[in-house]
Amino acid sequence: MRADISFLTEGDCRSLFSKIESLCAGGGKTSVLLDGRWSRVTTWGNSELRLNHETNDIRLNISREIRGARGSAITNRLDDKGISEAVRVAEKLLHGQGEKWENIDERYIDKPILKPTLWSDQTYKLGADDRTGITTKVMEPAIQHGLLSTGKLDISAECHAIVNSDGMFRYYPVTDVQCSVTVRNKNGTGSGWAGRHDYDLAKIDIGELANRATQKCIRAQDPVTVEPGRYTVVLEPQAVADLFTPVVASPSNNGISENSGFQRYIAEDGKGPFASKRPGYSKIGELVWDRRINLTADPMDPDAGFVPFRRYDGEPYRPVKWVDQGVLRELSYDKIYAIGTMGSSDPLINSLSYRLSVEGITTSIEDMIAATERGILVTRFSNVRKVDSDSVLCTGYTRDGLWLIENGKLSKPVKNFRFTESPIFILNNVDAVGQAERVFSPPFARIAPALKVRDFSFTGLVDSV
Amino acid sequence: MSYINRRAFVKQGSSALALAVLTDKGSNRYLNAQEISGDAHEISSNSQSILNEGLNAARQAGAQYTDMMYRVTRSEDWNFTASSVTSPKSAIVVGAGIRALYNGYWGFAGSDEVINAQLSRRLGTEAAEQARSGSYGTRRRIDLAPTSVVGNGHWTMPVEIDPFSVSDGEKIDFISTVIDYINRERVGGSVLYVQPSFTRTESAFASTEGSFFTQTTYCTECPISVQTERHFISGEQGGARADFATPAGAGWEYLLRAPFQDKAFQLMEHAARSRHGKPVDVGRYDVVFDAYSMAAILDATIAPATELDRVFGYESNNTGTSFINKPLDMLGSYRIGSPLINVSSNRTIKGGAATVKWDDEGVVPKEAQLLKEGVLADFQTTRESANWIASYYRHLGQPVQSGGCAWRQKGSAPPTHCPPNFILHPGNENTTFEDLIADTKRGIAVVGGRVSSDSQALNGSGQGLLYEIRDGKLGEVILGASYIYRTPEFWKNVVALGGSNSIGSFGFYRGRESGISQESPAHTISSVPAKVTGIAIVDTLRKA
Repeated sequence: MRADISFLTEGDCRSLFSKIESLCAGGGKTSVLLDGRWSRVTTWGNSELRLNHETNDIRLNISREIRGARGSAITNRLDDKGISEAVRVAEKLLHGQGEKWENIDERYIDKPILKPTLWSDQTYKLGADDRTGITTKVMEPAIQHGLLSTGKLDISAECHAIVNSDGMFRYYPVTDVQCSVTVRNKNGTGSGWAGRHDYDLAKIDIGELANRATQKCIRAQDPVTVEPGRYTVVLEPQAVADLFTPVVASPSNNGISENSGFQRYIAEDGKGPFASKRPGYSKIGELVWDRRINLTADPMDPDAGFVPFRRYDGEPYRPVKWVDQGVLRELSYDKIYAIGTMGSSDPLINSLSYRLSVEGITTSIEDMIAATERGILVTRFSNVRKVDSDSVLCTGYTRDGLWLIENGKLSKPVKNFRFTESPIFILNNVDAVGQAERVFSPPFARIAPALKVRDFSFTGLVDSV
Repeated sequence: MSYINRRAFVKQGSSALALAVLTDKGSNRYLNAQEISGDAHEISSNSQSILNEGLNAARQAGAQYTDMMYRVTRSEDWNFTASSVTSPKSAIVVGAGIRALYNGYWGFAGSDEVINAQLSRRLGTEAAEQARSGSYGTRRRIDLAPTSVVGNGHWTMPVEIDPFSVSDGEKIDFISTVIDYINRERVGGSVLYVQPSFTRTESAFASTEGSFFTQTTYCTECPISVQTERHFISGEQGGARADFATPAGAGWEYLLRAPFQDKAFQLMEHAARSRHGKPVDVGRYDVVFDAYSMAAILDATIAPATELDRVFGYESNNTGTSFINKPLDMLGSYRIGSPLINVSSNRTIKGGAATVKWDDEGVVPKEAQLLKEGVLADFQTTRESANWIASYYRHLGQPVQSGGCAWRQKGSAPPTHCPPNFILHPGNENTTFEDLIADTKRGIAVVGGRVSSDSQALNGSGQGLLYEIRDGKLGEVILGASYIYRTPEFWKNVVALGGSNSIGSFGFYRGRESGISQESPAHTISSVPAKVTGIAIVDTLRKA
């Protein structure tokens, strides 16, 4: 190991694995997951820089298996003593288990992975001085208008590696840029937000981001009260993604995991939004939402690419069209389902990244507003919580900019609402679709269009800003 | 009896057995109890000189204040169901980080590695560089509230049995016994999840003010949740989560003493009853909340609203802001609750999940009176934020000092804020949850309610097991209802509080980072049941 661990290379991962393998006793299989993140972050608050920080995060998971009995240990020590302790713990835990023949995989065949471009050398070379410069640029419009800018700029590099004794070797380095900013006025009566996430800083227009958040704050100041109820809404792409995500992913004890309603065998069991009325069937083949909208995921997506394998077992993500022009085509399934029903042992797994894209004529947000007699423009939703699994009915709040649309124009800023609405419902009540855009949803790569939707349900008034 | 025997557990009860185990000094304990997960303790005796290398390097690079933390956290998370136990997730996380202040700007450098002199020096130089890089803008000054120098401190959280000294075999046997017992009470096809989890954190801290200490803390919990099969009439799948064995600053003895037997029936009954009931009658009601529900509401309203950095807008891009938006004007005069409401914070109670001797910037945390008879009286602060309300403290004749809420997620992460332990002080009379119900002619009772608030901790809604109250007695379960609150109106409408015979302590996790795998800190809230008037009860699934 190099003494100065700043970023783990492929060679480092290979030699680490050899060392680990040489420490293992008792035969069987060994599998090592290594995730490293070289974080370089600048945070600012109230229009002043707060903290510049750089950290190396490491996480090493060593897994041992002998005839189906498994044990694993997690450490972030890469030195000899740390590794040997982890191997010893993994083996101790494995010996506490019985042999489980159902855990034994068939002979390993390496499956190829796609190779999206997720690395930018230029981005990798940026340092604290560069971040300070970018931060100054982001704060500038807010400062010029006497407003308070608070946010975070994270320019990091990560490596994800899986190596096992069957011969799997996967190593994927990525660069990762996140920039999000909230601009508020000194009275606390207005708040605007914008955020961008991509692997390459050059793909993010920092000036546009800063201006957008600042302008939203300015125009959202001193909102008036409007009665809750059903409204025609123009949802910005971020709002669409905030509301749509519970269809695909849900928060869990360990972070974010797949929404079980998106799994084929759960749908066939009659649960979740994709269960058919016919018992034992899912809605695959049926129209589930507006024909103009597709749901796909592809690691090679030019705007929303992601690491092409599942982190904990190296299973490759294949490009998949979940919903094609409103018709459900696929739901995710695991290996056991695949063997039982599909005649192959390849699972179809959900990366939790997605592209919600549109077919046909798109309308810009300005044109959607111009065509609306009375409606509401929403920037984003927050605290979105699912309250019913079968309809994916969610509740939550609007945040950071809400405006009344009257006779084709934004007439006044309005106070935030609580909403009770389902993403499946809104995708079935679409008046107009906009261009799909990358939204801020780290660590996932997600794309969503702006949408104009009828009969959106706002169920309460909240006076939070 | 020196180990947990299943038959005896069922006959005698877990607390009697716990006593037996604790008093028997281990002659018949499970074999290999000592040969557990590696070294007993990680922080070595020469850590002070290694940390000083880092401080010196930062000072030489120009930093005006520097502190450094080296932390080793060992954790073990088990997953039991009635039919299986998977091998635990056993993790060790090491890391070091240095924070440096240069001309009013902070810099931080950290790395997930075992500490040595060379790493220490590199981090020190790097932290100062990070700070310097940020400092080319407006000149400013950061004053840290003074804190006493910790000469050479060492503190270990007093637990009776270090959970990492208990063998896997014993843990499996004990938890399996508990599961077998709880399962006897089960209704139909229910699935039980029992997930004991243990953490031991050892830290070494040093600062350029001359402080050095080592500290060891523990966190133990055993979340239990039940999912029942769908009710044959309503089709609802019910569930319940235990409100005992929540995270606490304690060791293995905490599980040995947990009231599994006393509460098993209640847990199962709660799960079964949550599936079938009458539909909600929307309206405003007098609601009697149990102690857990009150703790959950406190954790979602007063607790986040009084985090001072959040109040001043520094978290607006993350967790949000606070409805307490004019802190200096509001301190001492802004009424948030009825005169019955006294809320204080501390990091000292025995068994508190946030209990420490020193916080993560070397401060001995003070006990703070956040709400005094319903009026805002203080905030949760760190050394930097305490100064923002210095004029208030001086006006009261109190020293300007940090509340002690600084926390690092791990050694290589920069300090942020963590919630301390909270206390909702009991009322003066000996009133219990049952007494509050008996005193209500018509209303609703909420058991095990969980809530979530908006970004200003101002509005929110909650769900739990709701019962109708008629003539002082619990009636039918109400399905599909939520209660809505607006923080000041909620707390001002508290008309009765449970007494000191009704106190419950519950551990909660709440952190600043949202999203994947960010460890949140745990804290303990001690609360009592309460009766609140004028609560809006709505149909959860009803749209506009």
